[in-house]
Amino acid sequence: MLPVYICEDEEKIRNAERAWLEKQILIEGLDMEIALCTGSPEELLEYLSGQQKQGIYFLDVELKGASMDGFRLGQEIRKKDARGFLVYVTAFQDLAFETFRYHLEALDYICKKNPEKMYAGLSHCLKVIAERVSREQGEQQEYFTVRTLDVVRHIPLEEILYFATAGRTHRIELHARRERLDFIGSIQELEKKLAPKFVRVHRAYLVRGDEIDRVNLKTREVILKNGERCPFSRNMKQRLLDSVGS
Amino acid sequence: MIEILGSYGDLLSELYLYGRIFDLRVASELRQYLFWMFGIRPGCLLLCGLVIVKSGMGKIYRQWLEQEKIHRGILVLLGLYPVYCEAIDHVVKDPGKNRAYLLLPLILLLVIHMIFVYVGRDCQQKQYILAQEANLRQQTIYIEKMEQIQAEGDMKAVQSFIREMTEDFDRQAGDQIRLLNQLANVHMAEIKGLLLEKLALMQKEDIYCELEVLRPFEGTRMRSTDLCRCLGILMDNAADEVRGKENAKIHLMISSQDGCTTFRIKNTLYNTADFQKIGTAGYTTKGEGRGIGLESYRKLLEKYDFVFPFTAVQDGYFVQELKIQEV
Repeated sequence: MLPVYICEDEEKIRNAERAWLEKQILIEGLDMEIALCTGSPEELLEYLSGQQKQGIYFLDVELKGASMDGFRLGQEIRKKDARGFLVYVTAFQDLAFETFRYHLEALDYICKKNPEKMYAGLSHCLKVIAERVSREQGEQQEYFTVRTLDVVRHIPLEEILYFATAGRTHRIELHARRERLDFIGSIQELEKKLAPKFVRVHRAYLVRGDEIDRVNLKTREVILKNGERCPFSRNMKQRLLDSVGS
Repeated sequence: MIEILGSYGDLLSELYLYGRIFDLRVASELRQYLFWMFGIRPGCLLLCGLVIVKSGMGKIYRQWLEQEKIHRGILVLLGLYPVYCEAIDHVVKDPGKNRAYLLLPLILLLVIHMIFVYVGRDCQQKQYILAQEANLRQQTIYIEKMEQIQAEGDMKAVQSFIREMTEDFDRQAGDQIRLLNQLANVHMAEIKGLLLEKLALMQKEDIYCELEVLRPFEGTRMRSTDLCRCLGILMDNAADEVRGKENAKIHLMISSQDGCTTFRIKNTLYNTADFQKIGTAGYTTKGEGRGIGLESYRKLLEKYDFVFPFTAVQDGYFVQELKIQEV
């Protein structure tokens, strides 16, 4: 059962949110329950210290009179519940939501100025979360987790084509089907971690075996299914021919 | 510069030696010599270093290096320092030439300091003028937009759909005010100027662009000229992609917190870009003679170890991100 947390400084809105969410959980028969409804971010964080479960959080952005705002609270929650669902309930229509989504992986934001819209937003979020949870339960995808300064990204392993050293110290380029990014790391470590799915074809290249389409012995290149080319070293020739042949 | 300061430290320490000849076979004189060698000399060099730090010479020097045009005269003046020393050595033959030796670096140091201070102040003044111009441009845009909103409000007031008009008017006014509010959080004059320029151009072309700057953005470690060029390239590319398209949107986020700054530009994607070729020489979706933007962008970033680029296609958007480690 997914615990639902509400942190809202205005008592009237807090109670309205609680009543509406309880009603929706009951009507839709969702596997969720209101675990805590408070106006204090500290109380919420303290409560979370003893919890291990993924939760759903409806948070106010402003939190008047509290020691932290909703953004800071979101950051603290992320330290305790990396996979939880954060939804912001705000009076600002012009919330910098992309920043919230980018740094906190916030799911959505709801404007509380108009009660009808707020209730519709709450119901919609519950529906999206329920769908996502059931999808995740059936999913067995492996992810590669990479940290670039203040952001952690989870990239499906199936999406990654190859890693290459970028010529600068400890700089690795990750080439995926729809993403390309730089991060600090060691290709040796990656090779150890990702073997046997990824093959070290060259001192500077670690390629996903499934993605190799053919090998050009003349130019000494492996050609990937999407047409990209990576060089391979002489001592890898036989190993590559075996893997392509099989 | 370092040589001048180094030799000045050396000569300062040689004041202690002035007129003295040590006989190293005598223990007391050997002690004195060693005291000079390992005590006074490093002390003087340290003192010179301290003078550089305290007088803010480093900052002024960096400011000078930051300039696009480096004054050749100053480079020649600095580069010829060993020649002056040699010349003094040949010209001054009197027994007091040690004093002349001491005087030359001092004079040179003062001259260089004066030049740097002059150039630094000149640069600061230019930046101040730039900031004022950016503010003026912001005010002009603000007034223009207010007039535009007012005019549209008057026009629509005669229409019968009062309710629709009010909502539309509120939304437009809201958009403009939001944009200006976000811009107010950009405190770096060069970036503010660039954003004003690009946003004004986009508005002229009816390209919808949102800006998000949640926390004030003061500045960054990356050289401002390079940062402006990088952002310019990314914004131009985004505008090129959505120009003339329906429901197009560009979103720019500047986030400055926890020791790093992130610039994230995303635009609705229409062309099915060959993702792996983006950023390679000559690749473009815009026709012949184009496609150098992202290649130059990559080259610009190559010299920075503390900058991390990210490119992705996500949920129908093309996303470009520049993350700068500030500490």
